[in-house]
Amino acid sequence: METIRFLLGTVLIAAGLLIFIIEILGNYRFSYVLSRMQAASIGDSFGIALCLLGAMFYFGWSLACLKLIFVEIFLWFSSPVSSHLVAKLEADTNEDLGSCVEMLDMTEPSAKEEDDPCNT
Amino acid sequence: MYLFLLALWIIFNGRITLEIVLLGVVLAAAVFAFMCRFMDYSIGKEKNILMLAGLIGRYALVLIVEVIKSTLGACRFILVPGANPQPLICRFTTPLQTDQARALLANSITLTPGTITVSLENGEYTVHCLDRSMAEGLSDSRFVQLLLRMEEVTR
Repeated sequence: METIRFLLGTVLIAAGLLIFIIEILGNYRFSYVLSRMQAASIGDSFGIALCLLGAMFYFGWSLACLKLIFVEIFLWFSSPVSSHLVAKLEADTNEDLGSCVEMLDMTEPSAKEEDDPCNT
Repeated sequence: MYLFLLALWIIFNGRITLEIVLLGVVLAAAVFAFMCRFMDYSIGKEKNILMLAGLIGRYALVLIVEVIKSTLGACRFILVPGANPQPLICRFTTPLQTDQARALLANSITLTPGTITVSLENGEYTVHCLDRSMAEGLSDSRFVQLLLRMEEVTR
């Protein structure tokens, strides 16, 4: 049982590290900052989850395992907030955003008409 | 939140004894009373969250599945030399009414690799997508359907 746990933990941590390596490659592969952030978010969400899951297998069912579950929950709640703030900063300060990335408006026409003060 | 605080106290202590549990019950109650008084928490809202436990569990499962699927999709764009993504920023609205549901959806979109919520104002989302394919179905995703059901239960 110990061996299976050790092997599972090792495989999961190795998979997490592989995700982090892909994340680093993505940072060099993409040129625009928001696309680079997408590459970085791979490790933030899934890479770290795999590493923590691997560590949970090492510890087994214990309070340390529960601590790691809480760490994962806190990370998944806090990481998107910082990503959102950096993305918002880029969108607010880049005056030439339209030329860097395509813009697509998918808001429903009916909703826009209701909000339009000129629409009487 | 009370149970969450109590669990946090016990886990941070690292062992379970009667005095640790009793002290935790008292301290968690004190912190929860503070939160009810100053941070807009209430026992009624806690009951609502307990009613939603099943849906929250399903939401977590859907989120994990979506994170795995999106990770694989984003990895393909990084590793395959010929796969050039077409990034775009899209704006869309959802039928969600409460701020909590909207914020949860925004967080879930950002957590899913390949999409980042740039802004959320008056129910209108601005999302950066790594590729055009990732923007499809954002406004009526499984997240939105589950959040709408949660809103119905708590209404």
